[in-house]
Amino acid sequence: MTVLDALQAALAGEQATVYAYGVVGARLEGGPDEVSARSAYDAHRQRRATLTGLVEAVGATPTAAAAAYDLGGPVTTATDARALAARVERGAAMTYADVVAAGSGSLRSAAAAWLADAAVREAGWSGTAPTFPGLPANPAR
Amino acid sequence: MPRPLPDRAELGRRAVLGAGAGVAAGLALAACTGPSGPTTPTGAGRDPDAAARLTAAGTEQRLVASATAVGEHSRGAVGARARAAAAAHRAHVVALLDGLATPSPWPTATAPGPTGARGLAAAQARAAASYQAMLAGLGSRTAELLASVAGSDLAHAAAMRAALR
Repeated sequence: MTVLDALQAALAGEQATVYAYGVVGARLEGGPDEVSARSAYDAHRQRRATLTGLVEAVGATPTAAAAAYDLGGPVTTATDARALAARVERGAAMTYADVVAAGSGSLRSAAAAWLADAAVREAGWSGTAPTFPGLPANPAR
Repeated sequence: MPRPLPDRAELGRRAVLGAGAGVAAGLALAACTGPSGPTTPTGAGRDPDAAARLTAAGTEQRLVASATAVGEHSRGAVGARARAAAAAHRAHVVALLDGLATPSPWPTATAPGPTGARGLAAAQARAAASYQAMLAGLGSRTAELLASVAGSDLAHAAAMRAALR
């Protein structure tokens, strides 16, 4: 995977994640997790902007966002919303792992920090810290 | 039509990392830190990826010991978090040593690990920072493994701190 491919995949993931957090935030509004949802939404919007800039910086056209995303089912309860948030963080971590692998220097460092941020957020939403965020369940197998 | 959220298949993730053998033997070798810091087997110093994996494995092995001790002496959420962390750190050691040649002989562990749940969380955060600082110059597979282990360690530290509140 080239650096540009990895960046475009991460950008596509961020676009989906921002969309998903819009749904998550609406469901958690007024509840104890509202602040966490808003913080995550803002962080991912910022990261989407960063990735867009990185793609543009190499002269490529950033992957466009879809009008809507299939969230895998209805998000009707706070439990649904937390599960969706954990799932999108898990997915985001995978795209960041690819950027770590493909990138170098400051990009690799930034992607590693993003991966860690996604792992921490996933743990916050799911209650379980991931063992290998961004990688297959057990990379030694 | 709505676009599905990206998942592993869509993103074209690669096959699993690493290849195979020597894990069980390597587990006994991870606790290889002397008073002056991690030691490396003959040849590992010339291979930055192997050296980084061995250094991280030694750190993770100490975290296994610390998390196990906290898990044995703590109840409730703190104990549960510590036991989960011990299992994760153990899996990290296995993954970090996977595919590395088995050196011999190896020194036994002498450096003490952190004590207490707060000490464990602090040590996990320090470990994560140290792995992230190692990434420059490493091969892609080692870099993403170390980044993943760092993320896991930070998540476990955050979970422990949440349990302590």
